[in-house]
Amino acid sequence: MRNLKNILRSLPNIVLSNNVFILFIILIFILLIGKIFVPHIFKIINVLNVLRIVSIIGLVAIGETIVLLTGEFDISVGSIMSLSLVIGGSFLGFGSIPALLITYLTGLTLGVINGIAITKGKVRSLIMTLGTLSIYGGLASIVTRGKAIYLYGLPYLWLGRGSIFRIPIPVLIFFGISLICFFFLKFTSTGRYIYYTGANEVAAWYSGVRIDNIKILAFSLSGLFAAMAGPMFAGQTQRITPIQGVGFELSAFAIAFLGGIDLWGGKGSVIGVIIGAIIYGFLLNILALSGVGTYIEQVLKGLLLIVIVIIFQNIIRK
Amino acid sequence: MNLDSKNSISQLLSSVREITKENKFLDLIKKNIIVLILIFLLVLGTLTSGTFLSLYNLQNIAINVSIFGILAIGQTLVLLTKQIDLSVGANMAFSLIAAIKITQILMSQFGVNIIQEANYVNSGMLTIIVFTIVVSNLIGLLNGIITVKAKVPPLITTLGMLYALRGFAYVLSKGHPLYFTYLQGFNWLGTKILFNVPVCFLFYLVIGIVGILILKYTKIGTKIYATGGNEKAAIYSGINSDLWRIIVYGVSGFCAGFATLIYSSRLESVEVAQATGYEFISVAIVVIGGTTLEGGRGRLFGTFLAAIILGVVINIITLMGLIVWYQNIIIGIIIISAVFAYIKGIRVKKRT
Amino acid sequence: MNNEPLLKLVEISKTFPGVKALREVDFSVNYGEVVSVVGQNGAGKSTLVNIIGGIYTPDNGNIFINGQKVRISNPGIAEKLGIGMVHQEPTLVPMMTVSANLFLNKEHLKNIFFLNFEKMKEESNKILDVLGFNINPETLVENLSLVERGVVETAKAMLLNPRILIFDEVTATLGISEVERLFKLIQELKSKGIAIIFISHRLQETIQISDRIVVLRDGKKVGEFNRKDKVSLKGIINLMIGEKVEERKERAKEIYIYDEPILTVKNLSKIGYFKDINFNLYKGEILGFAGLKGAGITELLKTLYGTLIKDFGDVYLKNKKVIIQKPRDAIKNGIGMITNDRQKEGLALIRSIEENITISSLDYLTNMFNFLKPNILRRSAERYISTLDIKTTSLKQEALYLSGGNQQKVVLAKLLLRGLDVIIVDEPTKGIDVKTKVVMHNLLIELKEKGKGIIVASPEIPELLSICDRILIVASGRIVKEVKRSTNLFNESNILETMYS
Repeated sequence: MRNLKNILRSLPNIVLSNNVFILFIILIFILLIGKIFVPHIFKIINVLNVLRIVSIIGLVAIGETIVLLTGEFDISVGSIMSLSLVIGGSFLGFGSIPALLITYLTGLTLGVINGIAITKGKVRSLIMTLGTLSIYGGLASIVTRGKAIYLYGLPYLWLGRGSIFRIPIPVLIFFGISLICFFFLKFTSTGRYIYYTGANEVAAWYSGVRIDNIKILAFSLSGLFAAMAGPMFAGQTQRITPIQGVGFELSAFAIAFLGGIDLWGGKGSVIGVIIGAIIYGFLLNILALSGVGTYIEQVLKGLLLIVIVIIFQNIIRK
Repeated sequence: MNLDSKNSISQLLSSVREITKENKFLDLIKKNIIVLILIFLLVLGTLTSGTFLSLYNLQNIAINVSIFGILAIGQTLVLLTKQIDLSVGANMAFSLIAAIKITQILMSQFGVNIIQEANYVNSGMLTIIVFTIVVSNLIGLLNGIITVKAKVPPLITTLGMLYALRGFAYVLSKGHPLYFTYLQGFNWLGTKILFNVPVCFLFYLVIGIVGILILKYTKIGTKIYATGGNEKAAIYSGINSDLWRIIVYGVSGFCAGFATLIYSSRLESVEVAQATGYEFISVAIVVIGGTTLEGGRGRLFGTFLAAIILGVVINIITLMGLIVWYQNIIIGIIIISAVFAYIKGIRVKKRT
Repeated sequence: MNNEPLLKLVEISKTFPGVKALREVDFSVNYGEVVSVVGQNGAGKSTLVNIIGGIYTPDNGNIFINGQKVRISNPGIAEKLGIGMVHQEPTLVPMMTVSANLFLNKEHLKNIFFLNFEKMKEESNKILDVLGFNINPETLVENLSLVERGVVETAKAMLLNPRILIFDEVTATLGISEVERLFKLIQELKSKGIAIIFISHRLQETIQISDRIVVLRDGKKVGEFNRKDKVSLKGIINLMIGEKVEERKERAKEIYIYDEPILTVKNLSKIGYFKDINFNLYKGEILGFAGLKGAGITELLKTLYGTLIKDFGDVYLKNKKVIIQKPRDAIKNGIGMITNDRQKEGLALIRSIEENITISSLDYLTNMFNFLKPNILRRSAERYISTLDIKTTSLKQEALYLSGGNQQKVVLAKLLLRGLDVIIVDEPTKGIDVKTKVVMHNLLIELKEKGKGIIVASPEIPELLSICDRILIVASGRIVKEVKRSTNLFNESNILETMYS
């Protein structure tokens, strides 16, 4: 109980620490601008919708965040989402629950493979995940022979479109997992090892940290979370396609960097990523609602990523 | 006591030198391996299908090879400087579409409408071609400037550019493909055969040869290799490493422009999604061809041959009836195996 | 030839953060003259030549070439002024050939565009012949030995046809015959009228070839000898170390327990670095390691800690054999190390002081579910912040903002929190100001009194003399002498002589 009190006592510190504070300001700013251009932005239906989508890409971003914190990159998250969805989908004959479990398990496994190859094989994470992006993506297409699977089962749809007490399921899952990750990173030894490894891998090794295991863990979580986000997305669109995850890595990076995660690792907070996801979601929402085409969105997404990196990295580096 | 240990150390060093001389021998075998692989594949192809060795099929292979081969040439330069360009595929789609748009706007100033029936381009060929190259070049340079001056990691810059360009392409074309069937002469680049050899392949040969000559035999080549091999040494010797890092991106952009002209000329159309995944193919080719990701090491000739190998492989896969997605897997596996093989090689070297 | 020297430095000063590297140093060199600069590590030798080579700019003072004032603001200008420099560590492109490296950015061309490989190969051969080395210009630099790379680096400098050639500690890894060749080369260059500035630790040979020897100590020029002055090795060494050798003799009581060694090393060898290392470390002892750079001490210590892997030999902890293949093994067996590069290997600068102190002990500080108790972490960190007197505004401050001395204390705290029996320290006071140096020494002595076994390696002999109970002198990868505190051989002159001979 005393521990809990201490933990709660340090929360205001986190909120008031510079980065997160700035993000709050940005969020409010964006919302105000949104109100001007899109009057009905604050209608409950819209907000819930935004949060629903935010939660899905946000979950992937949390996984990516953990990898980034260890100083590595995972650009295969989109393909992991696709492949695990598709493999899980082929088990739908056994029921939706088994299918979901297989989906999560597959994602975890694919992440572990990434992690082991990068640590034991000493391949740069950039190249390794570039390769697995192709491999996993290709496998996904092969398994479904390019066709989509249409979903009528309850669990998927519930995951994607359901709510409890009007709170969308994805939101619950996203916030739940984010908070767990937050506590995990801040208050467990493994969490500290993750930050330290990202901050200075050599010093971590010298200090006795098992950096290989830490990285494998990070990639496993990244794969797992991507796989968890998949069914929610599939539930929303009511189908599983082999290219479902395409583009998620971009959003994941954008949200992570927006949330203040340092490009080189070792610094950044999950709280920032949560707010970053909300900001990102509302930005896209404003664009969508003001009649800007989805493809301009895509353009802006790409540019946004670059701009975010330039601005935030230079500020953080100061 | 001093003398003893020094002697044993120099003994060790001379035996090391002998081993590394042997490595030179291994290098020779490695060079020949690529040719051996090529021969093996040709045999495999013949066995797979009777039509493999037909002129038509070989010409097909040549045309495909010229498209991603040219891309790979640009990518090689970028990788040599320890950077990467993931935006080439998107650049291909975007530059042509943007060029058409620009031409349309320009020509409409003169009251000429280059597009009929909403989708068919019927004039302005020269302008379109010129602008394609110009735009693709500029995009390349932009990649370079962002990476070098704003110090954004190449992964992020080109990844972001990849999505941004595809999106822009959609916006400009409103999602509709554009057709060149009524544009006289546009299909020359992609389909014309000269003495049984496709013209675009001849262009590939020319670009390849020019590239090899420049890289291997001119000061420009040494500057690029030095910038990637040891930037500090390059700077100490007075080489403007920033400049060259930007220039190679420009070249990569140019290659994207040229490649898309061949591509669209052949299919007589251009659409937003064309050349999707081509960036990975170009990286795969460069890696197979022996250029490493650490910078400063690699030969264009290797890339050149690797492009042909990949072209043949894809052709065989198609003839076998395997579906397109296998390509992705194979490409992924190839990238990773090539990197593993290289790392094993480095480990052996480092131990000595 | 007029009366002005070729190169003249007047009252050159240079300060780096926390360290006054050079203080109003005058220096000059004439055509065809060989001038050596000697001094201990940190005396300012490298700084001096780096200023001449344009890598640093002086804070105060002037440089004259042939009487004309010049400003050497970058290596390019130094090159234009005819100053060539052979660096300690070669700056070459590993995957390019020797010939390509020699002519990097200065290639010979034929037909305007194309590289003239034959001509460059010819000239490469020529210059390599002049240097007396049989190196094939077509070999890739990465396949060359360290010695050969040094030769290529020298050739590269010579190709610029310099008037002044600087050799910055290039002899560190050379064998006797190679040094001879280098000296022959220097004689030849000298006869051509080229001025040579030479930095080396091999005092004996330096005396042989120099026309003049300049002695630096703590950034000041303290002596200058001409060839005819018939100077002795001892004389130079005395000047290098100065008077202060007597100051720090006072030290705490000698407590050690001789019966059982806490660490025993038998026949430890690593090919190319050290051979047949045998020694014991006793509880309550500070054991010192003295030697020149390149003697293999740092490698030996790293092997004990697991960051390098041994080839032969065994290590025993409290008489039990231990296998140490990574730092985690060492820590588990009670061995901790502070390396000589605390910023790269000892600290995560962007993490807080508290995190840095506690990182190695986290598995002891968690409760059941792997959860950390913020209180305990805080208290542990605070304990060491106060006992070690780490100057910081808060334990949450990033390690980045601490001074060098305080950073070193944080690394020490990290080890102490873990409660390790053996502590290895490589260059304990590197980059630390004088006041904190003393504090550091006292800390180590306190630890010794608590019964820990401490190994200290340092290039500063006075440091070792003031805190060690025993000193092992290492040369060329072997232990050549042991000096006990109680004996009268326990002094600087003696140790330096052994090291330098």
